[in-house]
Amino acid sequence: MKRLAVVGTGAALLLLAIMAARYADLFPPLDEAESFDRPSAAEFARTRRAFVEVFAGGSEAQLEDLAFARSDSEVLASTRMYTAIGAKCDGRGTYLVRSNKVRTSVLFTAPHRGFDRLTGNLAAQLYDEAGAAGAAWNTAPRRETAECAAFGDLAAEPRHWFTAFALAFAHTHPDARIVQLHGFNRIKRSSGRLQSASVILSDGTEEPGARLLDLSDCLTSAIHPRQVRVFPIDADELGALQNAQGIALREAGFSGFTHIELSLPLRRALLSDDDLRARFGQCFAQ
Amino acid sequence: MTLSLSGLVRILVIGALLAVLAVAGWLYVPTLARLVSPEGRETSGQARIESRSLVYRLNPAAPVRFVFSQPVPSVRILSAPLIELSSWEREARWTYGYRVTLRDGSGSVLASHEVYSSGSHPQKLEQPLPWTRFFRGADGFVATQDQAIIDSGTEIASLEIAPLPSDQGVTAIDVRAYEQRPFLSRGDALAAFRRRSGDEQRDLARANAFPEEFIGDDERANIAINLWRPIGPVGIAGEDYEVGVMYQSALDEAP
Repeated sequence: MKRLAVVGTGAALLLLAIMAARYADLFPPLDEAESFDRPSAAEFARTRRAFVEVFAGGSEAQLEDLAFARSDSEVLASTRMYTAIGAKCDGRGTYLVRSNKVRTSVLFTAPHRGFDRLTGNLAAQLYDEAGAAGAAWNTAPRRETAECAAFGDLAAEPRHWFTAFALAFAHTHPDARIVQLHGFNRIKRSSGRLQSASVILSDGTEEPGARLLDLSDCLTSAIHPRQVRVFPIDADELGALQNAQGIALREAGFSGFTHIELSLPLRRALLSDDDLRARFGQCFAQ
Repeated sequence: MTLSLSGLVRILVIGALLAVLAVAGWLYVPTLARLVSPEGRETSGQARIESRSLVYRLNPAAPVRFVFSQPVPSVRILSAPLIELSSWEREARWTYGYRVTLRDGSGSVLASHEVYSSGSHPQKLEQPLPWTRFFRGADGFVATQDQAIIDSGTEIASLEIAPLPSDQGVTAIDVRAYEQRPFLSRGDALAAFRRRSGDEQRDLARANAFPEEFIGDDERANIAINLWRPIGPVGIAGEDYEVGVMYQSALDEAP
């Protein structure tokens, strides 16, 4: 039995490693970040307009003017990837836009990849398999590290390229969903109810809307017996009330912001279990 | 046209009654209507959702099976019937039943019990309850739940629950099963109690005559030993069993 558990764990880790290698090109090392820049108000507005143009299938010229370079992903089909021009990383983020064959009108984003372990890989995988419209993640670490002095929290930056990207998507896809994947530590939670949770869902408000409840009902079946909690109905923490993108999107009249906190065991399971991830991903297609 | 004083008073009284009815209708009926119609159950903002809980739907074709973490001497089952709308408006109480089959570790049947319970319309009780339970997107409401605790001389390893014929209007029965957490010693039980947050400890001890900070360690251990914890069915959700999310909304709010 013990041998079986060791083999099982080894196989899961191997799967994780294979998956991570597949998407390695999408994730520049975070310790290469040399600065964490913020755009001016004018640049923020131009970035938003430029991404609106791209989501609408128009020209990329405006993005190039804003020092974003396009590359076509080798591992992701029909995907245009936008990153900052030049070798130096200024923490602008990585942005993926599906050029055609969008099956799911969803953005999968991970503002804290690296810090919230595996969320970047999970966003890429969900984007890939769900045929999502776009994806985005950070290119600078969330917190200061020994290797890297440049850091910043995208989810706390109202004026950032990451926020502009979300607003542009909301503008071109008003009925879509923008998913922010996060990771939470069960041990740090204050109640037994949250310590046993695998998912904490929020739309960034005190009154969860119909779309969030739809998602929670679907996820409850999809990942059962793992526990799904909804803020503030059965979770009193991690409600994302101050999330910069959530606030900006609500002010823009968009109701599809979805903040998902995932426990580490579930993140691992989602990356190593294809069936579980498929059931999880299908909930976002509804 | 001239009006007598009594006629004027009558008109004023009728007018006041109509006004009261209009206000009551404005406050109560839209909230209920929104809850009753599937579209109405789509946002929690329209009626404040107080809680959500997982339940398992009983299937006449295949019993729902639960396995305990280790053999237990007793089991607790919470059940509640889902009532169709016309019956919900017409009736106040519904009787429903389910069969519980207890098995030991080898799979042999220890006992089979037919449990008949009743669920009530929460607003038609002598002391009405200010909430409604429902499933989003489903017609009908959930009546008040009932509890059955079944003891067994031989320890139970698993149980199966299947529905029995019920009153008209009962469209489904949903259940939850619980086991008592096994502890090796009273020290373990006390540790389990202390691992809870302060709020949870106070909540668990609220049935006690004294507040949590004034009860002894023996009593704290007893609280942990007597806690029931939910268990999930065996199999794959959607294939071997159907899991649902039951919502509870407060009815005391204006829309």
